[in-house]
Amino acid sequence: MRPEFTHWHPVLPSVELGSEPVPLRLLGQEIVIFRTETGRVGALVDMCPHRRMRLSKGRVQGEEIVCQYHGWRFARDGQGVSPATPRLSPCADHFEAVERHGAVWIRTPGSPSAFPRFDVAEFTAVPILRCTIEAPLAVVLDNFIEVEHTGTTHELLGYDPDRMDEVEVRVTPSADALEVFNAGPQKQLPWYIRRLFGLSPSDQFIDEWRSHFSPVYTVYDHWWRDAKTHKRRPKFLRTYVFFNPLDETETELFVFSYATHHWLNGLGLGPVLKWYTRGLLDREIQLDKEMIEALADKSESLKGMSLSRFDRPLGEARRRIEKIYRQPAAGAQRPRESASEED
Amino acid sequence: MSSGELLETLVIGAGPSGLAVAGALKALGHTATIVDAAAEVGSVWRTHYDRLHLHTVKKHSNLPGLPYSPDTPKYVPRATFVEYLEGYVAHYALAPRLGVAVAAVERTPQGYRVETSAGPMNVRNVVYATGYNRAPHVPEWPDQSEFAGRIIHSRDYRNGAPFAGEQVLVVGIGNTGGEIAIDLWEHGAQPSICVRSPVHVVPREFLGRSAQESSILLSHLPEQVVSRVSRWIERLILPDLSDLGLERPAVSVREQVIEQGKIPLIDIGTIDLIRQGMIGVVPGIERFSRNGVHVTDGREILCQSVILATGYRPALGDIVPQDAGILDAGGYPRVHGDHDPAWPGLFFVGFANPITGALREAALEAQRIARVIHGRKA
Repeated sequence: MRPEFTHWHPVLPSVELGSEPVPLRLLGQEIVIFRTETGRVGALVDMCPHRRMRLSKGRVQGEEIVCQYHGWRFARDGQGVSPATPRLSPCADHFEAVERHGAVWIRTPGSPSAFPRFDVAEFTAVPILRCTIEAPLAVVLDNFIEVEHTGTTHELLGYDPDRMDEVEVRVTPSADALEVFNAGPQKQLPWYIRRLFGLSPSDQFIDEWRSHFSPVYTVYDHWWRDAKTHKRRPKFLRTYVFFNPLDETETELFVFSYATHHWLNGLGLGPVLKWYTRGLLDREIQLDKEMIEALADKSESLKGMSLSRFDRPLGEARRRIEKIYRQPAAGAQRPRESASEED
Repeated sequence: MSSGELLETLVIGAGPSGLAVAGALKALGHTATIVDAAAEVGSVWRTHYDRLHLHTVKKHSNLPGLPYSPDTPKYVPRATFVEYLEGYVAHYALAPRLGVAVAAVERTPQGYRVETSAGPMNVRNVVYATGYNRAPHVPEWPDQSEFAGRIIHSRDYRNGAPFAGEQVLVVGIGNTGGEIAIDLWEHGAQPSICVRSPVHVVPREFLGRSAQESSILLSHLPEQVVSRVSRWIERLILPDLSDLGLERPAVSVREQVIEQGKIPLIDIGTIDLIRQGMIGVVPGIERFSRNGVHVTDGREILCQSVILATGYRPALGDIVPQDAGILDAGGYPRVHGDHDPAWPGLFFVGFANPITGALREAALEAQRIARVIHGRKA
């Protein structure tokens, strides 16, 4: 299996996993996710080791998934039973699966990779958003680690396109991450959006993020401040965007978003606000998708491009994708005395 | 400082409790002398593990006279709390004398004589704010020296990165043990928690209200009503976790806190990971082996590291006047938040850990102590 699988990837919102198995794709691999009758989640390579039937065509029975073709059964750890030939004990390739933050996550079993840390205790979660973009990983990531496009491409989260030259960019690379801070004049917004976020027309928009590469994800903080005093406005969005390569040509964005509490929540309007915020984010992401998919050349190479002062993170990200993401997850790999009793 | 001069109040410890007393005194027009053996205020809070947040809400976790700034998160992160303590020192212009350790205290006709590393001091009032986490509690088991792995106390745990890929045993399912187990798992280790006795587990928030706020609300009701109602409510809202190896204690959360001083696990995700098999649960340790431990159900649990989340002890024995009347059998002060009439001017603050929040209680005690000291002057 590819080394990228040693990193935790979010692959499915928990709400989309009922009693039926769900097929999906990651890194060119077909995978089936299923929920057992006691509620635990399993992830197997979506192919019966017997005659290569898709297990996702089958059904769940007790703690196992049953292949539709010949009735072979497989548990969460891939251990199987062939009812007609009991001595066979077949084995399907499996992933370690866990549910956190409203999603199912998978990785190679026993990998020492770290789980992405969510620092969101005091925020309201916006429902998970997903979007598949037809372009390879690095090309999709490029769009999400520069702000030069935000003035022209976006409606809400962006800078004034006529004052792009005033936007400050600070890039701080470290061994395993990439931090970027941008501050500049917010683009014109309709009054009702300004009211919702408590902004004044002259406010500065801050778009800062930290990109990680085990797996590839970026944590954004979007907030605003008074242009003169730099006093922070209370409203705030924190967004975790995971970049899942479905294969060499398609990349899925898996988006967890969190907003500060709004007084309207107290009036029972929390759900309305959540879905409204999600709608705004969805719209912005669709605008990104349109641009990325319209690129004339989607190869990952930066050779021959004339890059601007906003594009420094692009090269830095490529180096880290190769060095971190496309390698087995690191960890203090001491020899282990025995296998864990998990599974 | 000459030993002849009589100081009004000496506060031992520049952590939250000590600063709270000095702040509350300042508000009444008194200046206390604060000493602390460490080089910085809030030293214990500087070395707690990285991801620690207060388990109580900020509204009920501040020191007297200074709320948190509006942009502080609801559950204050450790580093923000340390900044807050520094801000508190500045706010009340407190001038703690750092690097000054107390060696002994004895009674004198005017008050107390305190032996410190900076010489003796004579004081009318002495306030012990050394905290119930002055010394790590480090239990020992048979054959511990046989163990080939490492054993550390949670005091020396910062984050799970050094344990990636290891099987790690966390001893104790208090709030520290519960959170360290999550942290280890998130850093790619395979943690198990060693749970010796029944434990209460409460969600951090229920119906949008924090566990602490619910307890404060309940604490306003008469005792008989609460003790009856709370057991009932607990059975209703707290799930039975015995299938996970977590037995529910026979007594209610409230009774356990009041009678045994045992705080429930405020669950911030530990139980969910236990349920999914990501964090194991094993019974108490019987003895160590070369590659792990033998537990009371006869199994050998293999591990490369053991983290003792076994708590702290106040370790006051050496630094209080040598008299059987001051500390109880467990080493905790018999009277706290006020002085014992038999020991006028001798105060203890921050030695309670009620379900309504230790910091909230310390702040209330500090204000009471400040008023008593203010009254003694008259």
